[in-house]
Amino acid sequence: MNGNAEQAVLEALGKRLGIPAAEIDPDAPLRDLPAMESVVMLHVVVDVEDALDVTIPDDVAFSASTPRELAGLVTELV
Amino acid sequence: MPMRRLLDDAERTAARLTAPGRAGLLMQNGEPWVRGLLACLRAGTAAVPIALPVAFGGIENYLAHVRRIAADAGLGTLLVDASVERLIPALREALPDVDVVDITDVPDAAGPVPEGTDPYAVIQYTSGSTSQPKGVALTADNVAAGLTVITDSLRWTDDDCMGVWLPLFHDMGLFSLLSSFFKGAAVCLWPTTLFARRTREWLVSCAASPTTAVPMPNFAYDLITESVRDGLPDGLDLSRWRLTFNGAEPVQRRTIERFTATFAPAGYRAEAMQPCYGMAEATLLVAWPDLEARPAALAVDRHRLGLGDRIGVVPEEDPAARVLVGHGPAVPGIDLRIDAPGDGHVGEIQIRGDAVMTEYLGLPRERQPFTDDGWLRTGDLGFVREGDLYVTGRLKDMAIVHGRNYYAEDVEEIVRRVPDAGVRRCAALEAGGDGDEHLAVLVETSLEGAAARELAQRLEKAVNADLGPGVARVFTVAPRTIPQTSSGKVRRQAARELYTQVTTDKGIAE
Repeated sequence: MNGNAEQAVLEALGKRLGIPAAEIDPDAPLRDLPAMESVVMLHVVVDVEDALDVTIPDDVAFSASTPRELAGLVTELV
Repeated sequence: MPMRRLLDDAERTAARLTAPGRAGLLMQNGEPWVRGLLACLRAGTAAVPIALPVAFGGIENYLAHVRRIAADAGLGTLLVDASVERLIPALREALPDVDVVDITDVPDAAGPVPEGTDPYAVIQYTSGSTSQPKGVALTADNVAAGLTVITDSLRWTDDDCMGVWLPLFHDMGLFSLLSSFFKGAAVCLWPTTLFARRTREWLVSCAASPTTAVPMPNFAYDLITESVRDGLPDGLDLSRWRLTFNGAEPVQRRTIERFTATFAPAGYRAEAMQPCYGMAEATLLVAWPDLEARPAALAVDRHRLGLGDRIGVVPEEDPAARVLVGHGPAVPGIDLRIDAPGDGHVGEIQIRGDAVMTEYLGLPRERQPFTDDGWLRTGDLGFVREGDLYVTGRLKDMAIVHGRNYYAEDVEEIVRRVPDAGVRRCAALEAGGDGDEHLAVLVETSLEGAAARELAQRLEKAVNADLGPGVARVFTVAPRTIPQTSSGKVRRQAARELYTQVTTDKGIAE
């Protein structure tokens, strides 16, 4: 399940940042990704919600600092 | 939820405020936030609303920000709920001397409520996460005066209902909520993230609710218009909205026109759009047009908007025309003056009245924003014409080039309006010096190389046609590189770093 979530997170990031998902380091800080900003993050959260059919509470988005952490927290919700 | 029950529950919650010191509120919009606020007021301790973190902003920076506020405000208690559950352990660790109390559930037994003697009712921190937080300190008398001003001028009745998705930690959200309560009216609350993530869904939900008034900043109207790009939701009916406040950031006529035209078929009335001018320091409302008045717009000569200048009204087609949306007269209970020679002259907007704050908490006298005769200096420039207030911009965002004044927001708007250039985000800054002073305009584009240079040249030509030869220089930057706040405002001072980078990379000598 975690693999699923991680894939969804990376794909959403790739799509919204305009870079190939495969080039995103799952352990890099999210805020350091090129062209990252809060509006992009909102879109990423919505994309992941849609892809996995979950609702991501705000504090999950606040707490995660890397793609892998976000995927881990999302997995707990599925 | 009936008010009676909310007050009973607040009474029980107030009994939990046993630690000496003020109480912070750190929650997503919801019943516990409102109950926590009322509990503070009941216990005679100032409520200190704290902004939630920005998603993925890095928790360490956020905790440092909360620690600074806790120290500045003298927090003894921090009220939290399940909406921030995952943050609670980190907050406890970061604030070892603060009693972090989860008030998701109403405490069972009503204990004795502390009898606090705090001179203040609310300490409202300005939203930016600057290193030195500034707390707007409002007494209960300030708040009562402010809510009277708002509810009287809106002719608020108990049939009204305020619809609030704005964060309650934001002054516009907080005082909108309290205004509704002040007259015993209802409030509909939505989590801010519902609005931000799924705007269309929020719109449908709000239209189906008893909401009669919605407070929002200008960018939110654009977001809503954008959310129905593919068509209005079936059966959408906005005829119940008697007031939509447009405040907290510069009001754009374009935004108003688009929104009004888009939603007219859904029963939205143009008169409902009310461009407000206000601030936390005044317990919110300072000026607004008035019920049933359509927003007025005025085209003025942008070269005559410097401090002390007498404004010149020009036709809208004039290249020097800057269109400003009028905010109407000051509300009863707030005195407003312009620090300028007379009507129609540009100067700093200054206010006084019972709703105006006493101080920025604990700042030394010389850093308090008051004139010698006791008026609050707003830091905004503007003028009054035929009784209506027009705001021209922030004093600190004004650039002087060749002895003339330019407002960053005006220059940015010119750039965004250039046809077929598709500029969305840009930032104008004062740059150069020693006879080489100019306005640097950073423009985001996905174009590169020759195409980007061509765009820069085209924009520069268009901008200078309005501003004057050689005034502006345009630099292109990659998409999403201009720093902005969580609400999408350009951070011009922070953009200076980007400007330095861009000009250095390109080998331009400064």
